[in-house]
Amino acid sequence: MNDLNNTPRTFEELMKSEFDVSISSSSEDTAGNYRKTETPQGIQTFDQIASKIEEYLPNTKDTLKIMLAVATSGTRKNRVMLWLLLVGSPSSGKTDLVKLIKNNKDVMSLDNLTLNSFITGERSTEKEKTYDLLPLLNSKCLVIKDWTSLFSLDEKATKKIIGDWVNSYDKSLSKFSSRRGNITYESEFSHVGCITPATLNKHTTYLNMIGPRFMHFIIPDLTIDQENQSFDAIFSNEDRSIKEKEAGALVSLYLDYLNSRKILDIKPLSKGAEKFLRVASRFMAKARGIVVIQSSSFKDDQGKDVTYYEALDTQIEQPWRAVQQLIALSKYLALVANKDEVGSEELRLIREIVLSSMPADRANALKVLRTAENQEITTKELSDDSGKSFRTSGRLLEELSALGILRKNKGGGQIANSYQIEDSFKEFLTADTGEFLSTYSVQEMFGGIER
Amino acid sequence: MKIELLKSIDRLCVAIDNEVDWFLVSSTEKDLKRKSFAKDMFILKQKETRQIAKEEYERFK
Repeated sequence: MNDLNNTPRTFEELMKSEFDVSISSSSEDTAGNYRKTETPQGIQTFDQIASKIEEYLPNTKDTLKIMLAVATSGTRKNRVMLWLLLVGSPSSGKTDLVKLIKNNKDVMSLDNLTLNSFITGERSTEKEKTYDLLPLLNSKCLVIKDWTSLFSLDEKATKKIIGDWVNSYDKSLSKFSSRRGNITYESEFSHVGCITPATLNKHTTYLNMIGPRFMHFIIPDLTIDQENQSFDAIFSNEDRSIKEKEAGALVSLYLDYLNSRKILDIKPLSKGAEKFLRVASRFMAKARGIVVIQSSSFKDDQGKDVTYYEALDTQIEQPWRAVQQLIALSKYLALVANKDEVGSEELRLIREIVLSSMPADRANALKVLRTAENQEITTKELSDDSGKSFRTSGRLLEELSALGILRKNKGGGQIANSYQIEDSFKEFLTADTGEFLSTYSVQEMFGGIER
Repeated sequence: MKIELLKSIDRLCVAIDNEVDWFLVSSTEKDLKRKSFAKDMFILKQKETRQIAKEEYERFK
């Protein structure tokens, strides 16, 4: 039988017995006064926190890191705001993840937005007050756990709300209403939202309106072992709510610690990282581009109709916004991992985000290409591998070629056209990020830095 | 049977002990972050104690 403790324990003793963590007895030695990139005693490292979260939400380490990076960016002034959509099928754990930070004082969590939430045109009366959301968001992270509900409003309302989002990205929003006159707010905030792939694919019109302001991250699938781990947890009848609360408290504490750190502690990007981000931003800009495709047909020698696709027009953004988003995100990823510079692990996550931020059908086509021999593929091979129809595969490859991501090698006679990844993007898409950085350092050492 | 009962009482006492200690820290701690963390832990421990009490009651009723 344990001896009862008649003297109340201190915070330090409780932390030791509960989490096996030793912290200083002076509160001055906690998050506020640490030396640059040292983790203060008592604050767990990101890896420790991630392994605790993965006990009940398997395979969420990368997603957690990206979410924390975006969340902490909201509390600081950045060149561009970081807005992220976590894309995952229902029950993939995305809502559980964002719930971990919703009670943090620098996070505002909402389930839905109504018309004119950002700035209302109504005037306060004695009986009814009105509230504007935009000034409340300044220096915070806005979490919306399901974007589907936003798109379920009528079309006019959704377009209005999306329009407000687009305008607020410039960190300033002005409105004129007959009851309140001219109202302007300067507000800078980050955003983490959750959405399913079906909703994303269904509402491309709305999302094209927002355009390149949002980055996406596709939540990785579970392996068989991780699925079994989840089943075991559910069948064990253990009370998840206690684990959830504990995890939420830990993650919130870690977010407070991140918010107290200075982003300037992160060293400037190395030449290799700069080169990687240049290529990544060019790729992201092209991958998000709009292509107007026309379907044409002709009769072949046997009199059969042959359909082919021709790109009539393309609209590709300039990569300036993309590169600023990726630079900021890479530094915040390093901050979350408690590193003092952007390394290969951060760049690996950046690549995943870049690939997630393109339309799903294009991303799937590229996935097949990356593993193909010589990264070269024909329409028929893509159709066989991806399960899509020959026509759809042909259209996709033409789109990617028109955007400058693929190079078309024209066949002749019986030989079909083949498509290959453009040389400028090959290394970015296929090489290990560590190898990319080390190759670049070698090039730098022996002269001739490619820009 | 008596030994099982004693073990249950011990388990409950430890849980109550933890709950009370976290409550005291949440009331007396000056650092706001620690205070907020301790409050969350107190609520967690309160739930745990209730759960243990319920389990033990079901076992011995």
